[in-house]
Amino acid sequence: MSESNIRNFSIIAHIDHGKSTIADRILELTGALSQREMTTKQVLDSMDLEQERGITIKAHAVSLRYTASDGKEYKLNLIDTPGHVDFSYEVSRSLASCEGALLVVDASQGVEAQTLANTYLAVENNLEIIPVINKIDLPGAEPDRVKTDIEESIGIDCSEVIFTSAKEGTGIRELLEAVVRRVPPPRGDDKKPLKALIFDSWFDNYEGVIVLVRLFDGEIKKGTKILLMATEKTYEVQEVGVFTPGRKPVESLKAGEAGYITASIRNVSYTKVGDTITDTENPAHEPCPGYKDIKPMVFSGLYPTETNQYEDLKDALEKLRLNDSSFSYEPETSTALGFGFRCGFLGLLHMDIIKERLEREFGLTLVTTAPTVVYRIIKTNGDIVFIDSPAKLPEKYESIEEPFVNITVFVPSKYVGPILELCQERRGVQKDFTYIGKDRIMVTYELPLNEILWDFYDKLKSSSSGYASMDYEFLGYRESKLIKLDILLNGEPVDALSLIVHKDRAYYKGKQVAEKLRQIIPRQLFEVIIQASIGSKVIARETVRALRKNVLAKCYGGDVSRKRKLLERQKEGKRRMKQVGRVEIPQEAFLAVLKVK
Amino acid sequence: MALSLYVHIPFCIKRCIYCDFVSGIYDPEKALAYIEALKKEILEIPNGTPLATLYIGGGTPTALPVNALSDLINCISGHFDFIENHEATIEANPGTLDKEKLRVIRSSGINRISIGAQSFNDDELSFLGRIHNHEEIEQAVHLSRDAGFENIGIDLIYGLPGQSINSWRKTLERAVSLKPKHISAYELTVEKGTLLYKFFQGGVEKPEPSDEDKIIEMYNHTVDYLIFNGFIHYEISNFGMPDYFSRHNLNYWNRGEYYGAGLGAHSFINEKRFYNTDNLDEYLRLISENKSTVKESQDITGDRALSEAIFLGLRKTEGLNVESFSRRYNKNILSLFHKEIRDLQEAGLIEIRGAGCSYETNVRLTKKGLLLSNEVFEKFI
Repeated sequence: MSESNIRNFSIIAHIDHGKSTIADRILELTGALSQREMTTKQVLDSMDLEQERGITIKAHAVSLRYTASDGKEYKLNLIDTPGHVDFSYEVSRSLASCEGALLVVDASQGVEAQTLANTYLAVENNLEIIPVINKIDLPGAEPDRVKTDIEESIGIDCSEVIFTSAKEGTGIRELLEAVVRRVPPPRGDDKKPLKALIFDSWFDNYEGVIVLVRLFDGEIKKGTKILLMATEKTYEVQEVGVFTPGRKPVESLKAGEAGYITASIRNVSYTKVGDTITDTENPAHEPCPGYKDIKPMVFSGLYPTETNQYEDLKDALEKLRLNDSSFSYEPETSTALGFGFRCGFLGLLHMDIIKERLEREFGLTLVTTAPTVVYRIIKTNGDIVFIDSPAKLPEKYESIEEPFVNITVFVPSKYVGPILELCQERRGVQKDFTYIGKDRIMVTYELPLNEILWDFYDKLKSSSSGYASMDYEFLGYRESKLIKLDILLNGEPVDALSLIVHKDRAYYKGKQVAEKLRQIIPRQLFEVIIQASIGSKVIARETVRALRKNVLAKCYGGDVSRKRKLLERQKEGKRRMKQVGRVEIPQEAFLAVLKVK
Repeated sequence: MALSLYVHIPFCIKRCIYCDFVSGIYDPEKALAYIEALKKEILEIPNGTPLATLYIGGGTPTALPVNALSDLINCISGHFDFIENHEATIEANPGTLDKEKLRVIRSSGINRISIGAQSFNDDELSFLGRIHNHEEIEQAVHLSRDAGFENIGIDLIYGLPGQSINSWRKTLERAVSLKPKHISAYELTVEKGTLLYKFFQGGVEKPEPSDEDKIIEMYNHTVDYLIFNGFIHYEISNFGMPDYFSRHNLNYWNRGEYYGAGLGAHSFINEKRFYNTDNLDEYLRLISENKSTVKESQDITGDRALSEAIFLGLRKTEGLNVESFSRRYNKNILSLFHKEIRDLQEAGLIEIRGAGCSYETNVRLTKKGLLLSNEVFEKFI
């Protein structure tokens, strides 16, 4: 098929604005899937976790055939994008593989922070943007207001906006017609040296890594000897093909097309998103622009609750890493928790997903330590070190720098008060405050990443009845007045509970953490003394009184199994705790430090 | 070894707020149907071994009319032989007793009566949902004695919300003054599904450490006071005059065999624990269809048996005898649980007595350990 009949496009939308349902309808209308096959709804989100959380973690690409009203047949490559701020780099690479994007906005919710962020990414990549207002069937729908909203907040022309109800299937044909008519066909040259952008990859046990690519120039087929330009690895292509959405091998992929290749690649860390694949025999002069070697932003220690699960955890991390090169892990030893791993994630959602998969798919019980950002330490001799754990903070240093982010929040004006308060509380500095339409406000703040690590998003949601949305981008390292806060149990410092905190808040934080731990640590056969200290100075002290009574007075007739069950439950509860010295600590204690203001 | 029989009567005049035992409100027709079914179940139990103890519990066995009771007891004594000096107990609610009923019960062979007093404070009694006042308890004890019961037990509950130490002391004093042979003193436990549970859910705070201190003080006072008055503290919550321990309950703690008949009753026979359905209609139907009423059954062997032996045996203040344990289970408890026992000794929760020669060596809970017994038992599960 000639390039003029190819359209590469993505759908960008805020969570729950209907991206997956629209994708499903498109698949249905193009006959890629029968209605019957659609029963497991939202086919593109194939991981369980994705379906449960209603978010797309991994990008996929589907190649569809569509006969437009002009009578011609087109090949539509729908390239899905992950829908969360943690994955904005992946989103940008998926978008870079397209010429157009459907900007889907919920007819009652309007533009949200994520919509805006992703639209900007699309604009940066010179995509043709087709605004789509979805869920027009809902009682609260205000398509006209939302239309103005889009024009005002994003500044794109909405004169040809498409109204859809993906649920009822209305407007989908119009939408596809618009893709054909408005999205420019790709313009590449299959005679030029091969230039293929990697926008996703995953590991398959039988064939190695399956790489999703968009070809800008050249041609790729079985037997092509390829070079991955950033990682400088070479392979021979085993298979090329497309997803329809089932996997379908093809003869070759040419400039302008999107599809997959396999080449017996054993590890996804060699197929980095954004890297360029070229032909070793006739290499491209330059890679596709925009490649970044992305680094994890958030670190946390993962420890098996039971020490004999260490090897299992290691195996599980290795397996997950096969499919996700964006997280990292390295062995770590904690005096309190024993052997575990320091893991790096793109963000908190990413961390949650990995942790949940480890527990669910690999049956592990884990203790997670408080997530932390990477600090930049300027030592007294001028050396610079990066630390991803409070335990690694050197005794002496000149200054500490922490990563700052720029956050953008969209919020209805009646909730703006609490949102500003929240940002202020988190050491934020306001940078912008703009009305979007009559009753919505866009605010931007600069604040330390550390401050939005834990409950910021939840607080944002709860103080705006769920209406506020946010997005963030990394700004760089800035110096802050930070110090290390240690927690001691019965006089022994527990490294896994240490924190790096802002100096002005260290005192209150110490008090609150000690108080919180007193509530969380169950009473034991001896007294547990909790202390918070800065250096050698103790700033807070709490006591968990010794347990004096745990007895089953009653006799329950001859019902012995009831007694046994009670004792088994009690034992199971303790099994889930981590023993530090003699003190049994529940897993939640290691996150308690975050649950205080 | 001795065989015991437990017979359950799942009827009460009124439900007490703390009780989660299998019982419903007394209904004459249902009760008659139940007694017929129960007799049928009892007659199916193998009667080759004579009974050492019989325990008719509830519910409130004495809620039944006198005819039904004598009918049931006669059925049991017609079917089973008893050993000499057997113990046959009936549980009684002071609000359901009269001279005639007691006379009939006693003359049909029941020789021990366990009176559910719970408290001697009328406000507390009414809070608990009891149908009697303190005077009726006293009367019940006298009537029982008059009817020929020499072996009288009194059951008490302490640790009621708002109960003062003084009030509990008075209850104990009045109980002792009635000269029973046995006293059981149970801490009030809040069980799910009871009215009391709802009471605690409905805003009243969960017991705080200060309550715990109070309850510990109540417990310690109970132990001291009853021992001073000649009782022997033989199990965590049980006190008896010499030779008047509850042999039926001791059989549970010693892992002796027993049959349980009636709704929801538990049995332990031949290394197997099993129990009946606790649904009355289902029970009646199964019996009428000549089907088994057993709901679940489990073999108790190996480690399960060992752990049971420990968490049941250690409830007794004399503890576990190392020699008899090893004779029965072929294991030396001291070496098998070497580490656990050492740790618990260090924590001051258990002690080993008479280490000189093994047949006198007992592992037992210390006074501190009695109150933390679940922490101890857990280590052997």
